[in-house]
Amino acid sequence: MINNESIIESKAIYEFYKNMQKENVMLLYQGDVNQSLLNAILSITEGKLDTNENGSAKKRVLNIMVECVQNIYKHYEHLEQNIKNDYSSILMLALNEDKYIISTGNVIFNDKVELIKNKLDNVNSLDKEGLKSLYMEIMKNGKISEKGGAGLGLIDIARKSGEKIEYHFSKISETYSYYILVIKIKKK
Amino acid sequence: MDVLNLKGTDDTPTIVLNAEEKVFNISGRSLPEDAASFYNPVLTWLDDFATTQSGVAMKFEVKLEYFNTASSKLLLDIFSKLESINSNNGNSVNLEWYYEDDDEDMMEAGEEYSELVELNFTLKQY
Amino acid sequence: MSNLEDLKNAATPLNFIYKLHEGMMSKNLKLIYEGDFSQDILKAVLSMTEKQLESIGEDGKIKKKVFNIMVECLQNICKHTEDNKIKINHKSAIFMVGFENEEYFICTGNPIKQENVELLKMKLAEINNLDKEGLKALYMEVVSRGAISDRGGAGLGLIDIARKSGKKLEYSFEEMEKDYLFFSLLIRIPRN
Repeated sequence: MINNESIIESKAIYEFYKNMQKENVMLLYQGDVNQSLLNAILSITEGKLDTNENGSAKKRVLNIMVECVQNIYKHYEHLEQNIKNDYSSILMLALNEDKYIISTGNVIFNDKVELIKNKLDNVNSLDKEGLKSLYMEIMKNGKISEKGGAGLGLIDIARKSGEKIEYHFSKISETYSYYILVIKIKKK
Repeated sequence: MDVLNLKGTDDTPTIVLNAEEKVFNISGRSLPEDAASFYNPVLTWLDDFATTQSGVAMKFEVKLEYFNTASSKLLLDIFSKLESINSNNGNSVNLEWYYEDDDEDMMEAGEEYSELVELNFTLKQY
Repeated sequence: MSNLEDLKNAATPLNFIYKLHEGMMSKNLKLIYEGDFSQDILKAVLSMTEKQLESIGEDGKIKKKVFNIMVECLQNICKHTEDNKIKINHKSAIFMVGFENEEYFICTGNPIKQENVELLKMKLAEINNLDKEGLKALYMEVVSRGAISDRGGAGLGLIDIARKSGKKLEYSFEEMEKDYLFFSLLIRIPRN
């Protein structure tokens, strides 16, 4: 990890890199995001998985990456540029023994926190069947939120992941919070 | 009627809708951020079809590698249009949903759509 | 909302991401990319940084400098990783951009083959020995001589970086696994 000394030096780059290797990070992006960057990241991910992954795990990882990326982007659009510059988004893919780990971090408005938290808790409280029927219900009733179906995205992620979604919110100002998601996908 | 021919890209599928040749298919990957505007021409085309065509036995093929949740709702909208085309004006629709042989998620997605719409739904492995 | 104490005890990946986020803030980093490098990533990262520099109203000259140095750095990484791809396909490269104390800094890190280290060290030492005029002369010489190495002119790239930055290049080589060293390069671009 980057330590807290104030001036960065060339040796610190390797320390950072070693930490990434230790956590088996395959890909990390941290910074401001746009659609073409996210597309480039997806195609890199695909190339990386190609060589050493079976079809269905690969598809799940890619599918979840797409949803995550679009989740980040949805929140992101409404932010002011100075917040985008100051608080970067994070997208990470790691491979930890038998599981892929996809993590995202991004700024959201404080008034969205409760809603997202409720959705996550709801999704996490459901088993496979419960998730399926919730998914079907939302599809049928067309209850897609005005921001393009955030609910459906999380449900889909939970279904494909097959594990509980970990999350964390931390308040960074009166207006904004930083929102972290960790999603695991069994390699099979 | 006009032929709709959309060439696939990194994040959008290839779509061919050709009433004359009786070719109706969607294939590739569907990951657009703004799925609604991407699929709008498809929905419009199907509306046109419903009002102008009769006696067509439509074999509608869907062969997707991936789709995002933004697209999932639009696929349902397309299938709902097919539902209304089916058994009107002597038209009939048979939906063929393809999935790769090891892709359970895509197979399940097909099964789920078949529960959501009243259509002849055939799941096909490739 | 959970607090920091909770997080310290939290599962590793969550903790890891949080520390990344904090580290990035405390280091004034604007962008980190670690992974495989492709032409698309290169283009996307460049346009992203350009947009950011524009949004903060950075001076045109500085903007151009940062942009040019980034291009050279990213293309250097692409070249090196091309070489390495077969041997160590899990070992990716790293690229960072930050702003601190009125200067931009650009960091790159990538594994390189042992056999290329000596030549690279010599080039770096030569470059750091020269002043502005010396760098210009060397640049002109390399350009006119056309002595571009078979890996597409890494020498010229570094000279160009040094000229644009106006500062000494900071670098280190760390032992990695057999046959590879990790090459870190830090470039500072003062705003005035």
